[in-house]
Amino acid sequence: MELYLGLALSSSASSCSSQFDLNCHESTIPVHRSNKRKHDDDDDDHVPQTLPLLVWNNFCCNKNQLNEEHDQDHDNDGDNDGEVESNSIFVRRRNIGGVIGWPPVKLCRRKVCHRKIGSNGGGSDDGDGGGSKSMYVKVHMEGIGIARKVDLNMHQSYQTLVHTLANMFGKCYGDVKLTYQDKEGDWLLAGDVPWGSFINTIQRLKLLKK
Amino acid sequence: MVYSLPEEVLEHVFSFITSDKDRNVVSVVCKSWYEIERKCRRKVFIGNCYSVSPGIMIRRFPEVRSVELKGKPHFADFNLVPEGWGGYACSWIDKMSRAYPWLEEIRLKWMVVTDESLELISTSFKNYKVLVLASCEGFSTDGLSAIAANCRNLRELDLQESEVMDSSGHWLSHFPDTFTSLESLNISCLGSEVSFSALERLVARSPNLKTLRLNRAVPLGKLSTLLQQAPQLVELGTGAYLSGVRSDVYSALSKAFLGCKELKGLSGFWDVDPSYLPAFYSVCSRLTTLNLSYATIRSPDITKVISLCPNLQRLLVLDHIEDSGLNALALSCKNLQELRVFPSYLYVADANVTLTEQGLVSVSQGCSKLQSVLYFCHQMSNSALITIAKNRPNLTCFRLCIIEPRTPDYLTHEPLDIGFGAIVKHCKNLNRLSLSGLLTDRVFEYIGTHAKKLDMLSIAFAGDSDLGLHHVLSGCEILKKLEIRDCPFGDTALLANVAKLATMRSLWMSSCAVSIGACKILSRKMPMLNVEVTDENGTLDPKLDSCLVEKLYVYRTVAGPRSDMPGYIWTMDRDSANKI
Repeated sequence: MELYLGLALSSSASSCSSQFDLNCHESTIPVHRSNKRKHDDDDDDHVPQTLPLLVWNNFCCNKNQLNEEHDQDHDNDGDNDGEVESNSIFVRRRNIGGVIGWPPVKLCRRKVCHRKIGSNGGGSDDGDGGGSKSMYVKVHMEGIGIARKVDLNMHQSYQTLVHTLANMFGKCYGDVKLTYQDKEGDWLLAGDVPWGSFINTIQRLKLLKK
Repeated sequence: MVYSLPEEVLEHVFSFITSDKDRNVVSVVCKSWYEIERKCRRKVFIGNCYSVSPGIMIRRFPEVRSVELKGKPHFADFNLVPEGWGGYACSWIDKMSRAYPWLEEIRLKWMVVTDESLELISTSFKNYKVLVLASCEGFSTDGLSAIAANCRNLRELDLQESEVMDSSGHWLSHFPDTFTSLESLNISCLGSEVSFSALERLVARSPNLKTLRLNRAVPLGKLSTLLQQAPQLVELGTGAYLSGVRSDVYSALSKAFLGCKELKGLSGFWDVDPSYLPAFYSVCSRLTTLNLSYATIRSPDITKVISLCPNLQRLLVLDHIEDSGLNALALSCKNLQELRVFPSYLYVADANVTLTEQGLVSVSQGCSKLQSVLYFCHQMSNSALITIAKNRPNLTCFRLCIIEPRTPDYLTHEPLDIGFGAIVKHCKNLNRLSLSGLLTDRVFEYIGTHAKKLDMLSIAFAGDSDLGLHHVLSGCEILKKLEIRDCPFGDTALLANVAKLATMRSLWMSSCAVSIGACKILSRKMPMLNVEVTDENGTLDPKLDSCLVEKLYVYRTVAGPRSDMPGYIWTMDRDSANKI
């Protein structure tokens, strides 16, 4: 579940230091175990104003970093301002609204939470930060008349998306290639642009036989 | 002089031994008992489908009537297991269809099942009775049509929380008119409508139907019709629980519930309109299970319902119940054994919902039979945990989820180590534990020292160092399932406890600090383990030993490395990483 976003950090060959400069920057914020953010806590200063886009890159995590302070305060809030929870070791992947798979609530329940929030009308507006807002896109398979739909928000990488689509049409993952139509109406081969850009521009998908 | 009972006698004796664990024990007494036992074993449970191959199972147990398999790791429930991971039921069903013509029951959890497999099931077994697909995926209503059409003696069809692709709503009509053996039907996960007339006819001709769980799409107005056809129901899952302003729906429903004298369990309750709640009050005094976890009702409605259910043993509910509702529960439901409180807002506390640790403390005080807890909340304190532990030493399952990771004791701002420490110290039969909140290595020391009966442990955002993991692996003697995410646990603890991993069903570690090098060493030292590493980004370099692994899944197996892994999973095999 990587982040492919505008920063150059996505290159796996990039040096550790540039990435951990960001981390180090955050770790200079004093450790406040007691400053657990609650809604009645008005001291917001310690919440790190991080860049919303950070890359989880296993390559660059070297062991020395692991002994740094772990108990750094962090924020794992579902608000839409997209703050990233981080500590010196684990740069959290940004997911809309929070950490992937947390809190540990099954999908069928998550759907209920959000639907309910929508229907509450004047309720708080942080509800849709849940990460399970759907983004359904039509998919055609070459040679098959009936189109299907896939929820792109269930995926964070091309690999899992192609797997899912291949399964949907009863094809083998290795026998298909994925193309998509972007906002300009052009058909492109999927996989060349970072996932985030892909999500922003995609209109529909087509699976071709290899 | 050697004295032994004749084989037939032993077989007869063994037929009274039904639990898997006891059967396993019997089979290792001696060679002849092993042989006798294996030929007469009827039920097999395989907690990890990759730990053994279908061929091995079939060779050892030729007369099996019931098979239960689990595929993906538990964290699949929370989106941590990527698409295409595996858990395919296909080869199992294939081989069983040929080897077990008398197979009656298949129960699958977290597996991928295709329509072809369902069709094969429906045509291969002469006396097929039970199909349970829990949290499964990969099939559509076409597969269900085949089951309906061909399984003449089907008793149970349970699709618990599976993802079913919708081909058509008419699969229910494929049950022939002569089909009358249905006892249990759970279609609550189906997103689309089923043909209501087919459903009604099916219910009407199923005199043995005891469990009926409808999906959300079945309107409330139709529920009374169904209940009238099946007053013998023991478990009912409603559809959406609302209707327009129509008093005839209410009165028909109320009357129908009055007729259900056997009803013990209720669930469903999507989209509840509170004004329809009193319709089922008449059954409340007999209810032992109530699942309101999709119902967004609040006090006083929810408190009223609870106060009418003195025999409640199991309650699932949203945090809308609040502390006040839990206080009422503690007063009214003295037979409560299991409580699950789910969050209504996933990230931030809803200012309108006052559910705190106090609610759980009340229940622990008032409900002396409470054994199993699943509790989502936003704040916790060590003193509350200590109180709960002292009140309820009979707890066997304690799963606490404080929603914001690493939340400390809100009163003292300390870690919650001593609170959880009290839980493991006092609750000597605790077999399942899920941790949350701010926790240091100390809590793991407590767990390793005291939690001797622990079977499953779930850890997230906790600990300081490898010492934490080491305490658990070296101290928890009968630990079978360990799942960890986002903890600073790494190579040292893992490699210091390699032998332990062979006594466990599985270990899951994601977003921790384990390196590829350690995975290779582990694999080399323990050939009976499959060490699987996930590399979704395609950035892992297996030659770079210091590379940290995103997701690690280790499990014991007699079937060798699996051959159905997607491209982004590597299995560690001795010196090299094998990518299939």
